[in-house]
Amino acid sequence: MDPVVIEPGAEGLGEMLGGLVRGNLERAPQRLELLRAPVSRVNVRAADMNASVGILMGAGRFHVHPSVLPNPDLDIRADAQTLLALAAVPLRLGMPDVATVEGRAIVAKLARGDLRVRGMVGRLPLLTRLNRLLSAL
Amino acid sequence: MPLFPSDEWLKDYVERINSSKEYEEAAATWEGDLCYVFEAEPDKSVPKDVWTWVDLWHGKCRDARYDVGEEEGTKAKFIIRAPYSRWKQVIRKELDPVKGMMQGKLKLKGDLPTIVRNVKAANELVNIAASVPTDFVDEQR
Repeated sequence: MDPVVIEPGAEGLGEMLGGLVRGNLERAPQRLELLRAPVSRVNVRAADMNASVGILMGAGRFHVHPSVLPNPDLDIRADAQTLLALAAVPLRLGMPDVATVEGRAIVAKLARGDLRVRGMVGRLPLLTRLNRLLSAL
Repeated sequence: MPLFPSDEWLKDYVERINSSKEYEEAAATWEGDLCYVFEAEPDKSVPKDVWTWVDLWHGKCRDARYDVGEEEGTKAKFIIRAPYSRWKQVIRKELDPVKGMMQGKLKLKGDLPTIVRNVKAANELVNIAASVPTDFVDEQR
């Protein structure tokens, strides 16, 4: 059974995120472990495109919905290029590796508010799982 | 000036890909053929879908064929499709392809992690397309 489900209406951003995770799981099936935790709610918003999705992540599934979910555990907001960059940034312990140019660029965006992750402090394990799932590296 | 879409345009595009140091560097590890689908818009003088295939390998385009048809085109490792007028916007740099894909305006089929790892190369392909002096088929009198 495909662990990635993309609901109708979640085309575009949803297909990209779901497609990324699907491709990563095909390449590295051990990453399925990252979906074993209980279900969490993650919203992803592309600020410059008026596009957003809600993701139910856990219990073996990565389920993308065409609109944001209420009471999310994580709420991520950035422009389209930054969202893509998140998938291409080298990670260390599941977070952008500040020893790399790409990692420092992401941290700088976070500091400037160009990338906003609500719930980051309280839900760090969830964020690191999400980063590892999305990482194309 | 070459007409878009046409075989002549494709030849110019391929020549520029193979002359581009930026692309060669950005796509040094890229392996995989790609099909661009310019979807029909009969009212814009594009009466049928045009499947245009390019074979990209380690920074070069080894081969390219215009209007290969769907049966052949679907075998490509990557397929990017959109209506003709969207491609016109991309070539004119009026539509960023990354945003276009995230908005569902350009549909991508293929291994997304590979595209993400090679987004610089993908951006260079767009820059090169924008550099081809182009006449658009729906703007001909």
